[in-house]
Amino acid sequence: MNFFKTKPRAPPDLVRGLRDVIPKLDAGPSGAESRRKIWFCYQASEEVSRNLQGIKGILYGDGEPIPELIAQLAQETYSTDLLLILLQNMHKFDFESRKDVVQIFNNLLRRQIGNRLPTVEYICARREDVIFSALAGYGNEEIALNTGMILREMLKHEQLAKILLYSDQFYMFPHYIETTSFGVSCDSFANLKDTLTRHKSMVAEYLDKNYDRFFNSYTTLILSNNYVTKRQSLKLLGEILLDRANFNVMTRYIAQDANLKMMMNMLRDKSKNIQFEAFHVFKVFVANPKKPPQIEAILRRNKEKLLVFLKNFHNDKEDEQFSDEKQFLIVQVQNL
Amino acid sequence: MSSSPPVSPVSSLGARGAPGDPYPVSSSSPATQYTLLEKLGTGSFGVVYKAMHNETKQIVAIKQIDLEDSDDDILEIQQEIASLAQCDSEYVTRYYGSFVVAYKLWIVMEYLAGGSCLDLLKAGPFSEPHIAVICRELLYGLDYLHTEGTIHRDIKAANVLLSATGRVKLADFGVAAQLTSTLRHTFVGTPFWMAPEVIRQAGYDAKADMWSLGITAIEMAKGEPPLAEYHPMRVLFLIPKAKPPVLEGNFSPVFKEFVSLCLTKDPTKRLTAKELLQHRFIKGAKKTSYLTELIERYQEYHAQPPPKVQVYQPTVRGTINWENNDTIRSDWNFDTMKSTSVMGTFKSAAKDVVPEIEGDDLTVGDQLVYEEDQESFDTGGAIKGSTVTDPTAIRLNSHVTHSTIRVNTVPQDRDFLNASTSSQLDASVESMGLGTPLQDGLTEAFGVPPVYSGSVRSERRSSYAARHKTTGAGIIKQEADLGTSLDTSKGHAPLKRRRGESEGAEMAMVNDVVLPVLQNAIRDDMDAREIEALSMITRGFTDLREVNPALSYSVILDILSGINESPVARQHIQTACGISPHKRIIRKSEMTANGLVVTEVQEDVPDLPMDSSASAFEKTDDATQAQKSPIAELLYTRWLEGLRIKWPSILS
Repeated sequence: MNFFKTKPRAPPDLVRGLRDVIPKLDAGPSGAESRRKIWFCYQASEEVSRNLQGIKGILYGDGEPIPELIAQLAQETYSTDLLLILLQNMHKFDFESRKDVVQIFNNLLRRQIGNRLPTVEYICARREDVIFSALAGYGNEEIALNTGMILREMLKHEQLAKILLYSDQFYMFPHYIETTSFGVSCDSFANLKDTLTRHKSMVAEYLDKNYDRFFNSYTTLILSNNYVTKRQSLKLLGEILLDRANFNVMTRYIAQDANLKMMMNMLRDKSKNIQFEAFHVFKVFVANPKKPPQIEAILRRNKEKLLVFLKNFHNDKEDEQFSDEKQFLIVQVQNL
Repeated sequence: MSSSPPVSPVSSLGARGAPGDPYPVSSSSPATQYTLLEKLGTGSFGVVYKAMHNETKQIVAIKQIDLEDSDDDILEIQQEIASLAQCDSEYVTRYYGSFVVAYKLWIVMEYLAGGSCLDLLKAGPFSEPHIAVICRELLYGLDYLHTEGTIHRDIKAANVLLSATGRVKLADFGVAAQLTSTLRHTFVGTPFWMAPEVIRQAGYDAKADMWSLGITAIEMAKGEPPLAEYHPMRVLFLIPKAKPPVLEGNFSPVFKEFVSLCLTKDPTKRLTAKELLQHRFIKGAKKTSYLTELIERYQEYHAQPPPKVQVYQPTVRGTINWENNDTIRSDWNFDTMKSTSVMGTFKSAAKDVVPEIEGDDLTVGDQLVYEEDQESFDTGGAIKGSTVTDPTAIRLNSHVTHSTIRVNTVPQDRDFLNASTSSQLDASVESMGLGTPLQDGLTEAFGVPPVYSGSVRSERRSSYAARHKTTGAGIIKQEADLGTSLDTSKGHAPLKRRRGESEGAEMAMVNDVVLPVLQNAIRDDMDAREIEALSMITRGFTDLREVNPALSYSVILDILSGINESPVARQHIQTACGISPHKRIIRKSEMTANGLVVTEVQEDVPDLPMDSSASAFEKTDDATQAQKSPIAELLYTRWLEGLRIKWPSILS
């Protein structure tokens, strides 16, 4: 195994070598007996890992990275669409190679020349698929955490987050969150959260324009049978609504009686945490100085019950802000 | 293209996803894929079970975390799992998967039959060759983690697991952190094992793990970490202040050197895992199979009928004998603390600390087989007869719960723990909710809160866990009993009644004389025990001053007259020529070098705090020399003089 680092290879060799060996991971020569086939696959796998190591070596380097080499390498990855190929084939790589891909990817994404981010520009201009492939990684448990990390890095860039948000694929998030195991589900939720909270004005504009579609989809998460999904999506809802940038969205949300009913039901959820998160959405309905008639009607109808409920609600919490808010709500309800 | 099995030959080459491993398969009821066999213990934030993967019949460990109990952001827990999932090393416990059942998160991990080093320590301290092997394996593990960009942050014997064949693995990534290029500031770990820079919150990196390794080495050699006799919160104050602990006792110089290399206070000078792997202590270590001796020894220990008084738990000792304390088993709660903010959720962590003896929380899966041997857990002793098949099970003594502290807040004042204003620490301790159960227990044990909790040993140790059960039994009005008097005195409510004039003088005796003397005696490079002893005296005087100033005054005078009347003490003072605060400091350093021989040199200390009266005192001091008259008289005169200057009306 020592022949790894003997001769540093040039970026074009590495990138093209990598691209060319990837198809060999699937199978050896057709018709070959299975042992032979495994041997071929093994060799291909070794070569993938060698090439990835080589690329990583250029990007991270032992000493000072050499800008010319990196520039050449980046150029080569763009012209061969290597990033997309890596994402699409990641599930065939071995454990360490997958981690290498993440490191390479994220290094290239962060690469900056003056104010320009060449990799981001490349993806925006030519390969939006890269974003969607990273998202699609959630379909495969084995690589989901790796592709999730790549997606997280991409979402840091507003242009890329915008592409995802405005796409149909964005509405795959609830599916991934609901159907995957805890770890993957949480990871995809974290990326959904990033998409919705990192670039506030961009998101606010989107939510305003796509209010119905978004909330129809998002409500499925809030109503999820999965405790973790429910708790996290309620919490995020609170954060979204209370963000200044989303003022219009909030006004619309708290004008709908169906939303109020949903939150009032959540207040009585068995889980204390869900009650608590629901409270932080519910309070906005009550605090609204210009309550629409349908909202006010519901609150008025439940006035006495609400007063009793709120007075006994989470009295053991030693959170001053919470107590103040609760007190404020009690006064508001009283004055109805 | 092969469309056959989902596991392609290539991916099976990876260490993960190999068929036949007990991974959970995504389904609506993943819990049914496992059968819980027995409770192994209560970990830092959950209960750990031994379980069987039904399909492969493999044994796994399942950690259950009650998410409803945790105020933590679920995403944070997920981050921890993710970093574990990115590990593929012989030296790190393998992670198989996780899923949620009702409000509980189940984390499926590799089961290690040998138990934790903390368990194995119950049969007595390890020998040096054993420790060398464990340290080498830990260094491999840490080197892997650090290369991967992860800091473990909670290295201690409890988190070092052994396989049946003696392989050593790092466990409990409850608090592992992904290392970014910047230094970390999160306050996390278990006090006794925490590196000074972590406590100081001045930023730390992977080197923090190396310190903890050094402490763990001492723990394995002695049976408990240094400073184990002190309260964990107190230790937070001592570690950054005192000089690093040293491995004392009958150990080879190589081992002692290894430990001291780990316990280098300056993290930049501390060696890395890679460098330490080259150390002679490590180079000479045996194969891991040698460690099976430890496992066998533990099995034998367990097979014996539990003695009434545990072998390694001698009865109450009158004095603290540090050198021999390797035989003392600590019943401290060496908790890893975890809290989302200083003011935040320490309470929830404290809840974790309560041993779940009765708690049968298997309400979730009715179909699960569950054979907890309640009895043995209760007694913390022998295994029920029927479970002889598994005598190696990890069993946490119900008294010794090890959980984790974490304070995520980056404080505005980074040095807040180091600023020696431990009143701040006290305040935070109290607000973290620790004060109440602590005080409670102390009051319970002694009737009155002791001057300093660390001064009494065995009783309060054994009752610590018990005390947690009494949480909420009463409201404690005093502040947490952890700081030095100097510091906590700031926190005392101003005395309401107007003090008499003479009382003022008595107060002044403590405030202006005794406390400055004691404060000056505490220096940063002192042994933690020296600092602690002085702090306790300080604390005592402060309290006495508050309660009965006249008594503190007369005690001091009695001490002086005692010196005067004791020929030995007088003789000593005459040769020592200096009992003044600054002189004492000088003598202190000389004592470490020359024993009790004290020099005659009258050194003038430039930063002498005693301004006006000091010069007068020097003269009288000389006079003492000449006349061989008792120094007590002179000191007394000096105090009176000092008092006269400040309160001329009183003593005229």
